[in-house]
Amino acid sequence: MLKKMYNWIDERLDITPMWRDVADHEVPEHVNPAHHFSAFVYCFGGLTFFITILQILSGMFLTMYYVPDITNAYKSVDFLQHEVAFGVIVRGMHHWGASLVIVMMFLHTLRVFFTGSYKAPREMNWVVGMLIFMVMLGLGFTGYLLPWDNKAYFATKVGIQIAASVPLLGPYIETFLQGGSITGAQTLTRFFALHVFFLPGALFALLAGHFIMIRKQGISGPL
Amino acid sequence: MSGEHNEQPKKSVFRKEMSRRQFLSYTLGGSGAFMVGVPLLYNVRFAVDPLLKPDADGEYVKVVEVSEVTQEPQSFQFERLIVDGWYKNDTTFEAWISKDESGNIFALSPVCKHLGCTVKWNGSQDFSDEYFCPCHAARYTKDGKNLTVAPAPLDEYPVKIEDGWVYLSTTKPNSRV
Amino acid sequence: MKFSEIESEQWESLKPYLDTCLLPLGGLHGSESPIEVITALEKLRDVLDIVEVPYKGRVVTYPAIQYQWHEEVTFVQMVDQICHQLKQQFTFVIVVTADEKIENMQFAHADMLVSSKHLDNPMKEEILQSVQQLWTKV
Repeated sequence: MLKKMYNWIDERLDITPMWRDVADHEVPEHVNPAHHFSAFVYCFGGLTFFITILQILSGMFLTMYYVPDITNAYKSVDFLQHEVAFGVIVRGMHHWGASLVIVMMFLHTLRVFFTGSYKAPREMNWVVGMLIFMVMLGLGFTGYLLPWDNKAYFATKVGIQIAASVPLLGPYIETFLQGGSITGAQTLTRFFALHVFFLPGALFALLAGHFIMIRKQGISGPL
Repeated sequence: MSGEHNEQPKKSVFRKEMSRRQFLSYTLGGSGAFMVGVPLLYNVRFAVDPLLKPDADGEYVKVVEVSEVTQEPQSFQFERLIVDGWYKNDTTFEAWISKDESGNIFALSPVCKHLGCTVKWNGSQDFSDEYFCPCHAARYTKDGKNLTVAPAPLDEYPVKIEDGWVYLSTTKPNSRV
Repeated sequence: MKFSEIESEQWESLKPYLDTCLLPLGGLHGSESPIEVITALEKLRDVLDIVEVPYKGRVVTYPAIQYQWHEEVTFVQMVDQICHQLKQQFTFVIVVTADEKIENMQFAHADMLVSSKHLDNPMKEEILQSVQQLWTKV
């Protein structure tokens, strides 16, 4: 049945070469844990991507209940966590995944660093990777405020104060992030917009670049 | 003896078994599907929760004992918890409950369909056995049928009888007239 | 209905039905603490509910006269004058108050006075009846 459906589409659109091109590629011996167990260090990039997918998924579902507004944010989070079925699991996924994605990304970065994979001709991919790192930290920072509890509020206040200490530009960055002169209603909507539209948009573009480059250049050789 | 042994491996070449490639693609596909499927399942259950929650809006509220209801409409008050997500509040409602000729219990809302005043059974001496609105003299029959002024019959509460108690749901357009 | 709930397009069609004006009198002097003001306003709200809720479709609640002159005569004169003016718009004017002093005043141009005395039955039933009787006088 599935085979028939696939064939029907393939006859018309010739999709086989498309996915073959994406999926069929050699895995060199030195990155295959079946040959050298130590090669497991090469899995952190993939794990980062997998957790990112889960973050996008759980985040999309969380917005079905979440309201980015100072009177309702905390109440809606409380509601979705305690009164909606599996709310604890879905919010838990997003909560723990947020930390895990940064851990995985850090391990991936260490692997790339210690195997020297950032060297020519892959310098651009290293730079894109660093940009992804910053976007991820931005996602973490903006997402932290959204539950609008005390921890979120004061963590954001501290974060914004740090940003405000930048020479010359500091006060401007502060006003831009806060959307005003205090951490309040405008900060919350602003962080929400950054967290669910702007930063994910940037993340997708950077990830696409990251993956296209790795396919084009291939995995770096053994040590 | 040795001849028999030699034949065995030959046969095994034609065994109809899974190829290495098939086995690997099934295990990889299976674990991939598991890794994405389980989180997706939780998320989908989370999203469709409103579909599976009992409809609190139309929930029946215990109002009065059946034995208290007579042919003559009487006014009863009851409280309903209105829940809208994380917004909850108790609201007091009024209902005129009575029995019809065949003994069926029915309940009407006292909110006049003209401009929203509160109607009363026998509210005026001039019109007996009718609902009367003091504001603009709108009148309704015992079944809630509009006689003058009002553009529509009185709303009706769906009724449920259980263990000798009358339970009412939320108002809907009158079905008796 | 509150005066602010009526939209300008609706007024012409509603006017024949909304013929009774409710004029709330706060009875404040300015010497009250914020807590006392809150209590007074809540009480006034409760008294207003007596007639406002069941007769929603025929009464219009106007902005309140919150403060009161210590000199009773001038205050009564002022309220009377306002009631008189209100009768250009409405057939009936009912003054509503929760203040004990105002309860005992006489307003010649008001058709009725609803006060905190009417909060509970049987006085509540009585006042609702007399409002209906007032309307049948037309």
